[in-house]
Amino acid sequence: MAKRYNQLPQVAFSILLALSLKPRHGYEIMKQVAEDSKAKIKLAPGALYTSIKLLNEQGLVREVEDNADTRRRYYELTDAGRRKLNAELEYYENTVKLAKQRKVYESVIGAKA
Amino acid sequence: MKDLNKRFPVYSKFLKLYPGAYRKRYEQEMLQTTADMLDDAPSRSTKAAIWLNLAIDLPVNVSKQQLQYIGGIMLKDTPHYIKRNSIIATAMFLPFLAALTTNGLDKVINNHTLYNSWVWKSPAINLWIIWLPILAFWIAVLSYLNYVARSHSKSLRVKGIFGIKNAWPLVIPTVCALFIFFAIAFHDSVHCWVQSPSYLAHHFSQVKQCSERGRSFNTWHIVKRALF
Repeated sequence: MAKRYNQLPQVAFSILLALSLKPRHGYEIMKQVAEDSKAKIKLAPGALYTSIKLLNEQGLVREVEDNADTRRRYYELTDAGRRKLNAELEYYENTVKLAKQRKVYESVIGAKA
Repeated sequence: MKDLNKRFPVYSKFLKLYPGAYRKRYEQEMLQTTADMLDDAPSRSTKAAIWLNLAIDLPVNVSKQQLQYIGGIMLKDTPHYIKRNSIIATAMFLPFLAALTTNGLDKVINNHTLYNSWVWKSPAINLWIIWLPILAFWIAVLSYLNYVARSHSKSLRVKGIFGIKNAWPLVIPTVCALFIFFAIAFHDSVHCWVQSPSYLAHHFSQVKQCSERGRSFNTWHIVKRALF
């Protein structure tokens, strides 16, 4: 039997993507998520830390010390987090490829335009 | 860190609604992030939008965390047989709920009253109104007694014996069953005792008599239908 694939919630995925370049603190994550999503995802502290807690419990992100800034906590991806992000990206890549093959993508974009 | 609590006295009070462990871990970070957001806001209107966003974010995520916390306790400490029996007992009310819903629809669509509806006349009425709730009630009560007995054998602490914390799912079917029994026994005599307070005070004996007559009639009527 194939192993079940647990897809991450969109916000959690966006946070992993935001942390893929460098460790960031809460507000930096929020800004990066907003930028990556073209302001479609605007996180507030409650939603942000609910997702960070979830990712932390799953071992996908961890806290790192930053001696230059003791007031804020910084987060970075763990190895498991990086693998999970790659798996998610692969999933989205395949989905987009499939949509393109079926010409769904063009028709949706065309219909929108 | 204390400066942030002083800077946002109301918001930091609201953050106390989060579960203790979550608050201990993330409260200061949330305040710091809020401070960063507000410091970075270019105008008053942006600040107002941030506060509006926070006002929506707070109740949603407080409820989420509280539910996770309660669910976590239940998942961790509640014995498996209590979870299973609560689900079975609660499922026994589904026919009752389905019948009530059908009756409501029957009333809306065909303008039938309860006593004229096919739901009420159906021979299965005894099953959903009496036998399943009775069964659900006893499953819940016996499971709780079993839980108490097991706690007693493991530990003699009085707190452990009577602590409902890990057996609370059983409360749902018990309360539902008691509500149904109460409704069956008293629904025809409600008009006797839901009078104005002054009527009740002046005609207490009449109300009592009426209520007893209604109760005995209903109970006997239902039991007779159930048995014969």
